[in-house]
Amino acid sequence: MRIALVLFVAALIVLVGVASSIQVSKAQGQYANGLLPPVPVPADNPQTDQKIHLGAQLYFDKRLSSDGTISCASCHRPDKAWADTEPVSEGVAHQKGSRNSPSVINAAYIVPQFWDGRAMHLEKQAVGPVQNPIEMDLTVAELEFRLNHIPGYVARFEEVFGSRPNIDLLAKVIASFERTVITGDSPYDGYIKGDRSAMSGSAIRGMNLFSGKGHCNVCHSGPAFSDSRFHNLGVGYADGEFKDVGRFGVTKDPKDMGAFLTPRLRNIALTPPYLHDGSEPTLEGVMDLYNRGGIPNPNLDPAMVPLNLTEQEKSDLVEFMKALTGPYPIVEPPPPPNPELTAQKLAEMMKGGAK
Amino acid sequence: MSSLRRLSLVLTLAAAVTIWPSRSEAMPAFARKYGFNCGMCHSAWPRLNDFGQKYRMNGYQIPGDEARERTILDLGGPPLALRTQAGYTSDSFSPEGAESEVSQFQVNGVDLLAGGVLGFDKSFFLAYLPQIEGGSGVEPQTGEVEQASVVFSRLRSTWLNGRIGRFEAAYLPFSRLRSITISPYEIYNFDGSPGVSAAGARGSLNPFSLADTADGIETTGWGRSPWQYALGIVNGSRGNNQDDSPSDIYLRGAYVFGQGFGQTAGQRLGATAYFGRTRALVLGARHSFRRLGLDANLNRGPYNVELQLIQGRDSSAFNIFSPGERYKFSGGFVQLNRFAEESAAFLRYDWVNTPSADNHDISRITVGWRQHLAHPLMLRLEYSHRKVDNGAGLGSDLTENFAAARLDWAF
Repeated sequence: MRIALVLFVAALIVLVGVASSIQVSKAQGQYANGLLPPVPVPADNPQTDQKIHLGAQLYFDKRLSSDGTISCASCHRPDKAWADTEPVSEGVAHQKGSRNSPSVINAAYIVPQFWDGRAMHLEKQAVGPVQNPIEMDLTVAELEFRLNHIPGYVARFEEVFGSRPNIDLLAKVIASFERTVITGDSPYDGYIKGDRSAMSGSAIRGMNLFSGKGHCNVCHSGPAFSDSRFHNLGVGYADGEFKDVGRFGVTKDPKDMGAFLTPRLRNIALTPPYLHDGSEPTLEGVMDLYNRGGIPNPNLDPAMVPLNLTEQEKSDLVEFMKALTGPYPIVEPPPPPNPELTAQKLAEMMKGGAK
Repeated sequence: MSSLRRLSLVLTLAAAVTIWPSRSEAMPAFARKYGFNCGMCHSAWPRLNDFGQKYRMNGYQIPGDEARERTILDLGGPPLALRTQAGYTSDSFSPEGAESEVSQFQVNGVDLLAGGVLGFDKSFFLAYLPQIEGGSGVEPQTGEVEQASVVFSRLRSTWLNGRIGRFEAAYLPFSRLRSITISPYEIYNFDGSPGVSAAGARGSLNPFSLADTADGIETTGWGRSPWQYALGIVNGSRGNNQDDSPSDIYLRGAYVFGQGFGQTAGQRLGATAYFGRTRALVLGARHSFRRLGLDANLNRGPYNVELQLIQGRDSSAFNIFSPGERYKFSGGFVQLNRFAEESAAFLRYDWVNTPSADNHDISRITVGWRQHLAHPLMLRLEYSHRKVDNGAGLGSDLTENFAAARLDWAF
């Protein structure tokens, strides 16, 4: 009997050790997260250095807004992990929108763009804010006029595309530039590659909760930690109404009322505030929201259930979020061509009938 | 083969099987399919949490994400899983004359499980228990298909789902198959099979037991409202000793107070009614019986209370000691669970009150602890004391002391 007991305990120790090591191989399966694959690039807009550089110039150029105060970088700030620190960003004439500016980092990895998914690829997304009256407030005609009256841009577009600038080519170069804003080499990636010391014990526990009790990866799945789908958490629902209709505004399908795109999670710890309306300043608060099972409403996503997470478990999940932080490109704004041609001057030229 | 050799062989095999999944994911079929770990659906494996309960009721599909489900043909491997337990068991009975004792390391059964999606909103679940003869160090197991059902989900909405085949019916508010205790729920197991149970002959010859899986058809419904329902027609399972057509009917309704699905969040109150007909003997006529139950599943932080009350009434034709009178009994259990991050503790009291002419009342107290060692591996420690009035003959109570320390694996 004593030998049997010794054997039993020895086998137990072996089994626990082996079973613990199995967790590393978990990055498989339909909802598993994993390492980032190469950036997907559309066949009709291959990456070139020229396009990327031109896209960078335009990304930082405030002349793409009506009053010359806002560029893409104003709301998607490279020094703030390519997002904004305000719940909602300020557009032209200090106007404010209703949704938080998502980070550009890894935007190339998900199919729909914007919180409501109204753009199906980066090329379409890139020119959306330019035409939004609250954000950059230019018509297509105004935009194309300006681009075609800045000689430096005309020359560059002709060099890159063999034609004068227009909104479609603008979309292509900005999208090309945004496809370079990638992060992936996080402690999580190191852990998945087999470096067991890459993440803290708390972050490892958080990772297991992420695909376990927290069932976060039902929606935050894939290497970019987004399923590219739309879910209703109840955020913004009060007094029987949705403050923002979300995806419904695009599809007009009642099922989509109050649903928003699953945000990507890489570098999420660097981009507070959170949720589509920027109403939650901390990751801890986001965990509390999920732990409660969201905010009850008639359209609450059926995967939302109270989680019964302990304080330690919530803390572990936050640590895992932090372990998704990797290096990302910091881009110095390239000098814009013909800076003497200000937005005001270009607007006056258009008003004056310049061809 | 000596018990020691047998044990060594079992442990070696268990270690080999545990190592094997490290090359092909270490989780049972559903977890492997999605890349989840067991905590996704289980609060203390195999007990389901809110998400797991929703997943099961949604036909083994992620709620709200049905369109993305991969069918079993789309998977890289077969949707199979295996569960087994092994460890030390001590089970002793007294008093003198009725005493017996089992005290040894042993393997406690093997379950072969399969489940998955067959097509959009169509899925299946199969649990096969291979026959094991038993012997030194191996607990015998009767070979059977414990479950084999096809689920048709969301026939109109989540308010109408269908399940056909053999399954654990929804009239059990607390799953016997997914209980965190080894000791059975007495009131679910209570039947009148003479000589089958350790309690010896009871006052009713009704062979029906709530604990069995049943053959038949069941509809269930759930949604965003706090209500849930189940309605089924089944065959009475092993109590149906002459393969009569399914004709037992059951109804169940539950209401969840507060946010949650009522399993690990929210406060669930339920009521169940089961009306059946069966035969006391193979050649006997069919007689009616019924079971009425109330239940509550209460959650507060890490604590959970399960309460079940059942009243049973069998036709007078089943009554041995008082012919001409209906056989009435009642019972239930109350269980307190505490779920921690990697462990669970539980304390349960079971009771069954039989008619005074029968006087085979049963009581059981069970206490235990489970420690999650790693994803496919759980350590279970449990002690249970059971007493059956007059279970060892008139005036002599039967007592049982059960203790176990087991490892529970699922691959």
